Amino acid sequence: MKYNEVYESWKQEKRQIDISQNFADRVMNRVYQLDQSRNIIQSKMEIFIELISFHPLAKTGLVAAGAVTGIVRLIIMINAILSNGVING
Amino acid sequence: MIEETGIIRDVLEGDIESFRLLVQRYQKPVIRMIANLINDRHICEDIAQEVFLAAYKKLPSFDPDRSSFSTWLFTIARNKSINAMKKKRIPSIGNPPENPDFSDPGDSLIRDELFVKLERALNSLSPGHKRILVMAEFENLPYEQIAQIEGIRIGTVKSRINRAKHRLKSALGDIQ
Repeated sequence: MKYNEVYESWKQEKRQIDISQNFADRVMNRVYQLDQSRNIIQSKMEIFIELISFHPLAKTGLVAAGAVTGIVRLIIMINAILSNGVING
Repeated sequence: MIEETGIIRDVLEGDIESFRLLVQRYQKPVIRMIANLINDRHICEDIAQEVFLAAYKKLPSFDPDRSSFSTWLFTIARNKSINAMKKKRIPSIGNPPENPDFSDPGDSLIRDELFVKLERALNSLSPGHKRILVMAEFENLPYEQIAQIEGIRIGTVKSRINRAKHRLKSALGDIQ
């Protein structure tokens, strides 16, 4: 028995593979699911944006929340700098 | 055969069903490559599903000027296989040959034994050498494509294939 003969038949063996008949269907089901969830997220975002742009109160609330977050971050940063300064100096 | 760029364009324009054409075209080579890399035929279809799903998600970022679709898809399959092997700690002992079809039972037994030796030698290769050998010998991918998938030079691909083939040959001992 020659090496090449064995090697080639082993390669043929390795190239043979059975796949499920419905493999493509399973993949496509997941693709459609993914697309559906993307659409849901997108429509929720659209509703949210619409709510904010058409209701002055919502707009004010969002701006206020942003401002508060900014101020809190600033305080935390100043606090961190000052406490480091105290430790080092 | 419909042009791949046309199919990809259709998918990106919202015709999701066109993606099925890409799945049908590449399901066999992708599943086979994963099966030969991870030695587990039971989970290779699950990993292949993840490969196609990732391809669908990333399709807007696919750039045909940088690589062909098959190179891009095989790169995803390569990365998913590596991750699966890391996560599951898949043992390196391969499946024995499933359907030996030899007329002489004695001959069949000898070949079975030789196949097991080759399988062991394949699994004793480093993951990088094994991947390159699988892509070159079982998938018949050109060296340039393998180099692109692995992110190495063609010369390195050639030398790794030679080394891997040499290891397999020496695993069979006396057979010439």
